[in-house]
Amino acid sequence: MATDGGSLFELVELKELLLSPGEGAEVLVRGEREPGEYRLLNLAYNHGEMEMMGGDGMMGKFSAR
Amino acid sequence: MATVAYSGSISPLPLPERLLSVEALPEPQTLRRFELSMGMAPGKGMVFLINGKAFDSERIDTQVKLNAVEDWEVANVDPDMMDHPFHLHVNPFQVIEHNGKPAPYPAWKDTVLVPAGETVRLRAHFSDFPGKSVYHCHLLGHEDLGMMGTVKIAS
Repeated sequence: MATDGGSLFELVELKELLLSPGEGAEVLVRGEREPGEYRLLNLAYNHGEMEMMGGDGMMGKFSAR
Repeated sequence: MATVAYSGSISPLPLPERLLSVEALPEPQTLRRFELSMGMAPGKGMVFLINGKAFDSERIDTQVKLNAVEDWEVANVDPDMMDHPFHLHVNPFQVIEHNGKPAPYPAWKDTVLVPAGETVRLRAHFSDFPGKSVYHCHLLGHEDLGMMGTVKIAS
């Protein structure tokens, strides 16, 4: 529903969202499936970073499963 | 990252159909190109570059007229195929095209990922704030090794 720069014009439905460092998002998670436990997963993403650059190169990609 | 647990049921709430308007920006007066890359410098080792230059606080890289609308084509030509999240301070922008394809929906951004080998065209309206500011790769290691530039906005 919103990015790092502000609100969207209308809701956009996504199954996955890639956030690079500095990016942000506001999301609304709908609870309309069967009752239970659902995990929001931080997925692996290869952004070509080399080991020697240290740990500040993390990118997050998350998904509801 | 998180586990969401829910049970029972209630009537679903309707989702809003419209949030806030994202104003369309006028056509740009200027198109600039920024090439993100890396290289090796004598005595320094690895450096990260914008248009072939590492950051220098004494240099103005980009002069923008106050109130101008500009398109910036940000191309990741890094030979090492690393992603670079491009971040512009002060003035938010809208992504117009990604690799020549129009953005799927309008959105205000201050950071956009430019994956290896790809090009993002963004549009900004440099209104209200004269003065110096910066744009840079939002990966701290890349920024510290030079991938940053100074923009000066003046009337």
